[in-house]
Order: sequence, then C-alpha cells, then structure tokens
Amino acid sequence: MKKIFFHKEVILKRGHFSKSFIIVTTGKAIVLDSLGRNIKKEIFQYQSFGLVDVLKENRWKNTIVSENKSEILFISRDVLVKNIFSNRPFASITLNLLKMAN
Amino acid sequence: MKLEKYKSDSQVNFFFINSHQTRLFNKRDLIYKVGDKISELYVILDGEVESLINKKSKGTIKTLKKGSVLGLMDTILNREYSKNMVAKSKVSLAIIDKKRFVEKLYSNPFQFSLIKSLAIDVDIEKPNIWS
Repeated sequence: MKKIFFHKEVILKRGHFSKSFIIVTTGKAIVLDSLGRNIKKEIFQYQSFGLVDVLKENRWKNTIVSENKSEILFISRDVLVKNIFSNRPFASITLNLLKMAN
Repeated sequence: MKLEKYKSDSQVNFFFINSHQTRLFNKRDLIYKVGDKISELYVILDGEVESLINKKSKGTIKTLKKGSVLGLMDTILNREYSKNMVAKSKVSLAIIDKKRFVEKLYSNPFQFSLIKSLAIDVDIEKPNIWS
C-alpha cells in the first residue's frame, strides 16, 4: 500500500503495534526521539525502516513523521513473512539475522 | 504467522547442505582478519570463536558458538571482513563458498532486497558487532 504524507504528518506512531514496515519511495521521513521533540534519525528515499520490529511483532519505539511531502510504501508483516520464509535458504538467513538483532 | 515453526529446520540445514568441506583451527588461530576479501563463510560446528575489532583489542565483542555463521553480515552487505575472528578453543568450521552463497542470494531479487534491508537494520541497531 502506498500513501502520500504531508509535512509533519505522522507516518508511524510510537506505542502502536508494528504491522507493516515502510520504504520511503519519494521524499524523506524523520524518526523522532521518545519525547517527540528531536530528530533521532532520517530515512531517505529508497531506505526502509522497521523490518526487525515487524518480524518481532514489537510496538514502535519512536514516532515517524514526514518531512515536507513524501510517499511511503507499507509492506505488511504477512507479505514480508510469506516472501522471506517461502524457501529454506532465505528462511535460514533471516533467522540468523534475527538472532543477531537480539 | 508465528516464526517459531520455521526455526528448528531452516536455521541450520541450509548452511550445512551448502558446505562441502570442514576445517580445524587450534586455540588462538586466526580464522580471518579485518580487511581481508571475503571468499568463504564459516559455520561453527564445534568450539568457540572470538570476534575482535582489531588485533590490539583487549575486549572481545562477541563469543560465537556452535551454529553461528561467520562472515554472513559482511557478505550480505558486500563489504570486506569487518572483524578479526580468532579461535577461542579448538574449533571445527564448515566452509561455505561465497560465490555459491551469493548466487543463491541473488536468485530472487525481491527476497534478497528484504534480506539486505534486514541486515542493514540489524547493522545499524548493533553497529560494530557482527561480521
């Protein structure tokens, strides 16, 4: 699912369940700190965010907002899991990477 | 969809199936060093391996045990070996040819892009930890 966001519009909200990870297809997104005041990180075009959290079924630790206008692609956990675990080699690699994330 | 059901089989099988040889290292042997070009990945079959940033590093970043894959992160992120790997005890490693492994990775570009994104996220979350 693709969606357009305007300046400072919330893309992902802290505390909500991570059901999809995102890829910035145009523009830029900003990851805010836990107080929502300062910029913790920037997500540029073609970068993704939230894969590990989505696989672990975490809640988002930070709110993410759009800087100016941006277009965001949302990829659901179901699609992610279906693709990554569709064959053994990729399933094995993913599980090794998730082990590293712990 | 729970991940647990995939863990027991897939986690180990793929890497062993793709390995055709093993290699033994004695305690304190260097397995590979920072900056070396990657030609092989290794799976620990027995023993322990220490991951160090550099030769002078007194602190160990990680002690890796049976089942760990050495060089996985570096291969996916297409960089040279980023750590020194030293045998902490007598170690038996399964060898995986990097070229064959990469061919398998690239066989499905969309899946590979997901794996690579995951590797980038893990590397950002835990910088300087994994090789």
